[in-house]
Amino acid sequence: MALRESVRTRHGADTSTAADLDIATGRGRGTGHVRHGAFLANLAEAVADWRWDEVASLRRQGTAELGAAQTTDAILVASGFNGITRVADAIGIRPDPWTAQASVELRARHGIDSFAPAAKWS
Amino acid sequence: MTGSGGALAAGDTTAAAHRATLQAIAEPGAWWSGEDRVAIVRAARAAPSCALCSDTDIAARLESDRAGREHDNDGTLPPIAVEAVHGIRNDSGRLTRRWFDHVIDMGMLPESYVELVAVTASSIIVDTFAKGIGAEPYPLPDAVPGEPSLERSNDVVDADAWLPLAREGRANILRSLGLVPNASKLFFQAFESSYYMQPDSRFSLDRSQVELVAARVSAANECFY
Repeated sequence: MALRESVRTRHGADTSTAADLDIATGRGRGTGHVRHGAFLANLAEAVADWRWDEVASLRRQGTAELGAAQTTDAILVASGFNGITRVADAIGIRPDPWTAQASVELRARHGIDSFAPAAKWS
Repeated sequence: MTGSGGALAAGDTTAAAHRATLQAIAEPGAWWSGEDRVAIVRAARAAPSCALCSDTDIAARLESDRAGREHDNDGTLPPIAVEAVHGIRNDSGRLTRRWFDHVIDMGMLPESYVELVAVTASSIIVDTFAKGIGAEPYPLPDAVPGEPSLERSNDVVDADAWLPLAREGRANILRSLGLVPNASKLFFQAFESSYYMQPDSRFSLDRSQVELVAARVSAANECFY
């Protein structure tokens, strides 16, 4: 499934390459059709889980293979989403209507519905 | 750009924004003093090693009386505030309406909760980035004396969330902290450099790479939104 869809919906212009959503949810392997996708997914998850020894190793790998600026930016994006997901979860906001309507089948197929147990809002 | 031990350097813009975030936290807020807000960051930093959090999850803490146990804390904040910070820091994907209601029932004002969320999440961004690039987290600034402003917005609506959201905004996440505009400003100042929040936002990664990192972190945190 294309990550491109969310880019188009949320931010207007579509400048991305189609990507496999399973690599983003951790259900898939490989690059997800994103350049250095496997590495970036691993780094993002290690940062999200605060596995600092693993992050240090990936940081060295990323610096060698992607470059320091790209690795720093990946960590910056991951850090931001480590914060903003907590705002979303702590305020109990629901998906935006256009996202909810457009992603029913996608959420079910990729296991995203399991992130919102009934107890979340009841 | 690579420092000793494989550490990376923060860009000037990011470093300035993150330092400004911590300095803003140290100032009196709308519903917490500067001292309290700095204590919230200390609580967030202490949360990973909290013995109670490692022994129990949020659901278990709601079901039991904890046999008198408390979260590891320095005694500055009320216990329910420490529960909120540690829950948000350590177990955000499992926060439930029942847990939120418990926090409010234990005496926390909704406005205070919104500000606590903003301070906690802002500090998570700053500290995650510092640790992620291999640096030490910034030292906390001294709290600035002064009284909270007790500011809240009346321009909010029920949007089927746990709290009212700002009436205006192009996405629920951008409206989420709208009950306390000062808190919303604080958080999005911290977040701004991490995503395409401005027309001139630029990254050395391409758009699909940025989206992949964002989505992978959201999934790792089991964030439905």
